Amino acid sequence: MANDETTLDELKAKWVEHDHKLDTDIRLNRQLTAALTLKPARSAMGWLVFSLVVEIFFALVAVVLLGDFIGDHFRTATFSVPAIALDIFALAFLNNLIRQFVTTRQIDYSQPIATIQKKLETLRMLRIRYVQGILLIAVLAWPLLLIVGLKAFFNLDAYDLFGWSYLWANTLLGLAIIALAIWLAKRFADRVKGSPLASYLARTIGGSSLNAATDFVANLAAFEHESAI
Amino acid sequence: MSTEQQARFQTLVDEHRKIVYKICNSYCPNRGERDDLAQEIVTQLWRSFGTFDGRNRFSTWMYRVALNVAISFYRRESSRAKRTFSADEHLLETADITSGEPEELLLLYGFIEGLDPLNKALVLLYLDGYGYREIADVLGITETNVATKLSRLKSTMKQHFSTSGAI
Repeated sequence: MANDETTLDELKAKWVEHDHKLDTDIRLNRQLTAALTLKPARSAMGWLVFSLVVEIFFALVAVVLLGDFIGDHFRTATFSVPAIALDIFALAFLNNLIRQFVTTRQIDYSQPIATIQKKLETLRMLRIRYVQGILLIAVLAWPLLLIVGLKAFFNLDAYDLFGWSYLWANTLLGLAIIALAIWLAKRFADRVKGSPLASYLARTIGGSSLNAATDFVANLAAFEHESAI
Repeated sequence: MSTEQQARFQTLVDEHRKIVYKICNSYCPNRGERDDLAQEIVTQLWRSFGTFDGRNRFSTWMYRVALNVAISFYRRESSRAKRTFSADEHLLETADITSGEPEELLLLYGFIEGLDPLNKALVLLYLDGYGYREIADVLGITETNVATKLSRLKSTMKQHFSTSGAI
């Protein structure tokens, strides 16, 4: 047993002994290592880059189509205003996606830890905000999509078909659903830990993922810039 | 990459396999996940191997890549990557290493386990004999900062061990 004077330096000697012991006690399975080098599966980052390229393409198409629609219906506020709102969302998504793409291209794991972890966390935060935005649009802005989509693809007027009250009621319902989803996500996030997808959604909607990422970035900044005692 | 490079990579990783073991042990309390982390580390080392230009020691480069992977693994909330080999196969085959180790070493592992991922990296590099300059290079902070943090960690450790009554 050591005494009160035991310090990290003294334990370092034990660590060195342990290190020597590891030389004989650990064996690298070279067959498995070879398998990993011969058939490297596409990395999580590789999949993300691929999906980002696809998402950027669709966001660009949405921006162009919405721009075209706005041009055609500029003088009819009932159509141009929802389309402008959707175009703003699409541009925000496009901006987020391009920033994600640029960040993924800057990630090189052989760079210093503080640099890379900051980039990875920035990417995580951008991704969380993107998913939150998608969920928000899906629930809240679908009446706008309905108005613009019906007009653009079928030349139908959603106001005539459903009436203003129906569209407003759905927008309000969307707001209520968002409030309920946030409450449920915050309250029951711990209970769905068994399911990765449900847990991811609950943490994203409830905001705990974004809070954790923000905290980690703050810790990184403190770790990086801590001044001398 | 060529077969020659693959062979060189395997030899280098084999020579420094202890780094993978120590990082996995320190970042994964769950034994079942250690193999997943070991796999992710080796895969990423291979992917990044082209960036190793020999200016630094291989072990320093390996520590950078492996610690970056381990911290990301530790931070990840979603499901782990799928293993490319079965649960019976292990990338690092070990004897029951902890059984004959002195109590101080187990306490040290316990102390490291309780640290945040960034300070874990700092302590591992220090214990492995890296100088302040190399630690600063790997972590991306200043040497003064390394010295400050180590001094603080040493006193935290002393306090931790004396209050727990273990020492």
